[in-house]
Amino acid sequence: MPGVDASIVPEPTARALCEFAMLPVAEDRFGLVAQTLSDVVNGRGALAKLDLTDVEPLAAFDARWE
Amino acid sequence: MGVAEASVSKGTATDRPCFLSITEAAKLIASRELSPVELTRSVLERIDETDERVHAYATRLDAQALDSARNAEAAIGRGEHAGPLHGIPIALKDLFYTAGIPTAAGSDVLSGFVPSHDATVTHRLQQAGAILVGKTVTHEFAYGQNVPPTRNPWDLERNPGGSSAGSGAAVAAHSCLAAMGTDTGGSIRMPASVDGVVGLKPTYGRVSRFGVVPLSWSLDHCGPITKTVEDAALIMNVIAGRDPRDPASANVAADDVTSSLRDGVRGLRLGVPTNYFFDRIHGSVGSAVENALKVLEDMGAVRVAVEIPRVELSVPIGLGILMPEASAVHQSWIRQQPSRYDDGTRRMLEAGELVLATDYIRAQRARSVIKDEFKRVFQNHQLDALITPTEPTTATRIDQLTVDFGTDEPEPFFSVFVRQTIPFNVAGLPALSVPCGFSEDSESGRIGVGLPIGLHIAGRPFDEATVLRIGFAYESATAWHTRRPPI
Repeated sequence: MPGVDASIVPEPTARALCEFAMLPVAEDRFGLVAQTLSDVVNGRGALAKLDLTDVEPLAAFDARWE
Repeated sequence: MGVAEASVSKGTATDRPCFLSITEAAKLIASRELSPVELTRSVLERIDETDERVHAYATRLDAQALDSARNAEAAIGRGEHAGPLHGIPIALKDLFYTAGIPTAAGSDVLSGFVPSHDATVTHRLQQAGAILVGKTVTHEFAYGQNVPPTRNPWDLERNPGGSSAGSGAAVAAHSCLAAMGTDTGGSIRMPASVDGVVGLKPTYGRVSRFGVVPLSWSLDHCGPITKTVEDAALIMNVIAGRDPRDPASANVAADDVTSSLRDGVRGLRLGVPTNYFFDRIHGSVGSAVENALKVLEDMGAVRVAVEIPRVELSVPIGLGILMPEASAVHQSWIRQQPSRYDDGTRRMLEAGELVLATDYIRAQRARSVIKDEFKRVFQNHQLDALITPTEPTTATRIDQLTVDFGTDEPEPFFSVFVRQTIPFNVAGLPALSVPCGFSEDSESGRIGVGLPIGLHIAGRPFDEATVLRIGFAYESATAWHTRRPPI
C-alpha cells in the first residue's frame, strides 16, 4: 500500500492467533497466513490516521444520502 | 493481433443472430422476423465454436434452453409477448441459485450442490422470458486468487478479468446476448473493461442478492454484463426493485431507466478527479479516457475538476470489511473441509478469521467517511456523475502477477484491478464501465496491443438512469462497442 510502512507479522503470531480463533491451520500454512495478515496490518495502519471521533458504525449500510 | 484485424467480423448479425444485441434481437422477435429458437440455436452454436478456447461456461443447458425457446416462440405466437427479454438467451454467473441446476460457485466445496429455489434475479429474468443457456465460470466464491480456465476472447493468452470471468468472456465472445455478474470490489466492471463489453454495478440495495452465494454481505452487488448500454438498461428494468427476502434491498422505486436514455448529456456536470484515479495508469488508458471526455464535452457535457478527499483509503476499508465478512460466511466450511478450497481462497479466509472486531468496526466507520466525501463532492460541485478509467491497464497475461506502470515498484495484480473500482463498492454508488478504446502500443512492453479499455461512469445513489444516459450518449457517438474479438 503506497505511503504506508510495510509491517511483517511473524509466523508465531499467526500461529497464536489461529489457536485463539480455534482455526485449525496446517503446519505448512502459517507462513502464508502471516504474510496475508501483514497486508491486513498495513491496511489498519492506513486507517489509524483517520479521525473517526464522531463517526458511529452503521447498523447496516444504506447507500442513500438522506 | 492488430486493431484492424480485431474489427473483422466472422459473420454478420443478420446471418448469425448470436451477434445481435438484446435491443436488436428484441425488435426482430417482436416483429416476428427472428424466432427465439433460431436465436438460441445460433447462441448454442457459438458456444460450440468458441468455448473450447474461451472456457466461459461452467454448465451448459442446451436442452433446457431449446425447450424454453420453443415455449417463448409459442407464447409470442399467441400474442403473449412478455417484453424485450422474451426469447433472449442469457447466462448467469455460477453464484446465482438456479432451481434444479448445479450452482458450484467455482468451488469444490459446493460441487454437487443443486439449489431447490431460484435467486430473485434468476426468477425475475425468467419471468421476463429470458432463456438461460448456461452458468458461467467464476473465481472460487468470487474471492479466489486462482486462475480459472476462462480466457480473454481478445487474446487467449490473457486474463478475462474476474471474478465474473465467464460472464465477461461469454458476452465478449457473443456466446450469449448478456450475462449476470456480481461485484464486491469490481468483479462486474473489471471483466467488462478488459473484455471490451458493458458492465453495470448498480447502487447497493438496488438489485436483490437473495439466492446469490455471498462473498461480503455489506459490499456485494449484482448487475448485468452486456454488449450495449441500452441492453444493460433493459435488464435493469427487470431485475431492479425491492425484495423483502434480501435484508439489504432498498425500498426505493425502480423507475424505467430506458425512458431518459436518449436525453443526451448537454448541461450534465461530469466530475473528473484530480487525485488518485489518474495517478498510476498506463498511457493508453489515460489517452482513451481523455478522448472520451472530449466526446462528451463536444456533446455539451460540462467537465469539472474535483478532488475526492481520502478516497485512497477505499482499498484498506474495503478489504477491512470484505475479509472478515467472507471468513464469517465460510466459518464452518473452512473448519470442516479446508482442503477443498483453492489455496489462495483458503489463505484469504484463514487470514480474515484473524482480523480484530475493532478493526472491522473501524473499517465500517471509515466507510461512512468515504460515503460522505463522495456526497460532498457531488453536492458541492453539483455533479451528475464522476468519470474515471475503469481499470488502470488492459488485460494482463495469464501468468502475470504484477503490473509495471514505470513509476515505482511493479504493483501486485489484485491491487491493480480493485483500486479503481472498490471506492464505489465502499460508497455503494452505481458505476458503469463502457468500452472507450483499445491500446495502441505496448508502452515499452508493459501492456498488450489491441486490447480493450473501459470508461467508468459513477453516479449518485439510485441514479442508474443518469449513469446509463451518459454511457448511452457516449456509446452512440463512438463505435468501440461494435468491434468483435478475433475468435
